[in-house]
Amino acid sequence: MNRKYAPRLFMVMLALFWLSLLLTVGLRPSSAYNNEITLSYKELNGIESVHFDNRFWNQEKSHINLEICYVNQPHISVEFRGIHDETVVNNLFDRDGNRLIFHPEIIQENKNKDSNDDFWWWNVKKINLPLHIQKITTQGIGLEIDGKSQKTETDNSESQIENETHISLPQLDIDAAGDSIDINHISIGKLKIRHHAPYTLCPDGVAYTYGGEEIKIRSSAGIEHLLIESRAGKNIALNNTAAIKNMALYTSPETGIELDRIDAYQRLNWMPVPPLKQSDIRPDIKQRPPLSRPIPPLKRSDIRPSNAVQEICLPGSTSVQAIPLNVSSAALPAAAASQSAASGAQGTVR
Amino acid sequence: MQSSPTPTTRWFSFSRFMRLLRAHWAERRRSHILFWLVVASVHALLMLILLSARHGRGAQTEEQTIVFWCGLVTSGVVFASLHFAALRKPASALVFLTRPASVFEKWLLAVLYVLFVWPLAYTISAMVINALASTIGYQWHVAYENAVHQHNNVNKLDYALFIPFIRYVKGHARLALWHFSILMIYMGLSGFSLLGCIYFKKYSGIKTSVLAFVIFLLTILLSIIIDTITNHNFNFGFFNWWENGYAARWYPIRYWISNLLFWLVTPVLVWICALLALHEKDLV
Repeated sequence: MNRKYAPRLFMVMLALFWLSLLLTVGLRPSSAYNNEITLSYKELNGIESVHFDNRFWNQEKSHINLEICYVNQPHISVEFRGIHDETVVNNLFDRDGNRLIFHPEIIQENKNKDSNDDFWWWNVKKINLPLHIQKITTQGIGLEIDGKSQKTETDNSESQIENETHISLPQLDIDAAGDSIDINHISIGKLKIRHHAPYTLCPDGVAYTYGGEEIKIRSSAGIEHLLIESRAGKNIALNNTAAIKNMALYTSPETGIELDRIDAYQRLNWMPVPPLKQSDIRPDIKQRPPLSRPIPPLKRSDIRPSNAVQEICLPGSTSVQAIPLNVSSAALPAAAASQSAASGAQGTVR
Repeated sequence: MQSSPTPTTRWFSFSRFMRLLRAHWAERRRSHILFWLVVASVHALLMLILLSARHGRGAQTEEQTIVFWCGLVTSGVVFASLHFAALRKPASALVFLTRPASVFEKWLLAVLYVLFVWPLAYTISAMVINALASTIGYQWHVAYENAVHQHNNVNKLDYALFIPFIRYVKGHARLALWHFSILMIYMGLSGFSLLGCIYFKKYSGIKTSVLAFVIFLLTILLSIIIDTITNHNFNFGFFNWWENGYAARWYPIRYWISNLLFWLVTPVLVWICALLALHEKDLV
């Protein structure tokens, strides 16, 4: 036997290894995978809220994020990815009184009956909601709420930004079990977010806590009155507190709060809610525990400056982090000066 | 008088293979058990560090999974490099090569030990350590939460024992396929280690490591050249056959070819290389 077969075969193996890498260069899914269709749902008489539930999703994922865009239109439109024929979509929503439950039923023509549903590949790219739907409830789905629309399309990126307008909603209630909430490019008069207990996720019936996500209101979102009740969240980030007239946060003691301005805590009305217990795990999202008593107001001595992040200690173990763009310890006297000016702005959203 | 082997038993005889298996076990039993104990001790120490560093949370199912697979791949590579350690010394190499067994049977023994016996032994020790760690970790975390936050919302299901291919991190049933891919990586790396152990006469561990590093550097160089020429780089995201499933039928054929070459052909060829190298060593 030729004694050089092993190194030769090794070189072949190495060449095939590199070939496997080379074959991925410029690889893209076929155009069929990127097919997108938009379907409309127009039977909205008396509908006030929409519910999104991960149990009706097409695949088992630990995190499902849904982009919801408010647009000035009388109907709901759902943008699907991976579907090229609208006839395979049998159902979009189930009606439950004044509430719509998003329950898409997709029939894949060539789907193997024995294959696992986990591997369905269609997905919901975006859902456009009309302005009169002002309540959203979710179960195990992260929300990205957006209200950006463009007046005209131009090639110049700068003028394109100028032409962007943000939708204004008088009120929005979000009742979310589990995942994160991200609000961007929208103006809302009264925003109420209830971010609460975990739920049963696994198809095999095994329940587990699924909290610990973030509520983020970005700098491009203008909220006038804000009420957040969070029993499951890890963190709340408010990046445009200057626009908020009233902000009330009811959070569990371990929830972190990030503010974009050092003086925003003056207007923050914070109350603790009882921490989650194992017995809170239930699928019924309508139940809510009573709030505990309010805490005493903040004192000046509660502020502890650090290098870049100003951490404010509230009674309990909740920490508030104010992270402005240019924070230094010198900013504290300015914050103190603004304290008296802002002291009259405290209030609670009811 | 001993009859010459018939053509059917020249390359494989079950009774001869069993004798080889018994002889190998008798010779290497102590060193294998010692290696097992060392790996188990390192695993236990690592879990203890993780438990201490995160108030018990280091024993959650996710951490158990990471430690398990990292430990299996690392220890498996070392175990494979020790399998043909006898070849490094002329005297023991002579005994090994003249042992009454075909090259294929010696290679098959390596396959059995490296790809089946060691993963099984490692899994057993890891299960015991992880079960203990998850129990301690849960109690530790509960005690910590009670002491610091005066309440306890620790979910016991986060501390479920990880059992490969049976029980996973919550909601990640698809990880079974991904874990199968880790097994293929284990197969490739252990085969490479075994090949180096057979091929290099001296300092095989160092030489194999250097060779692996050179291949790594050449791969980076190839990536830079390809990027310069085509403005596209290797797209490692497309080695995800376990994720796409039904969707992947829309992918072009080269997606499947690249996955086949990467996950199956390369590891299998490494082991075949080891067989040929052992055969050539036998002729020497």
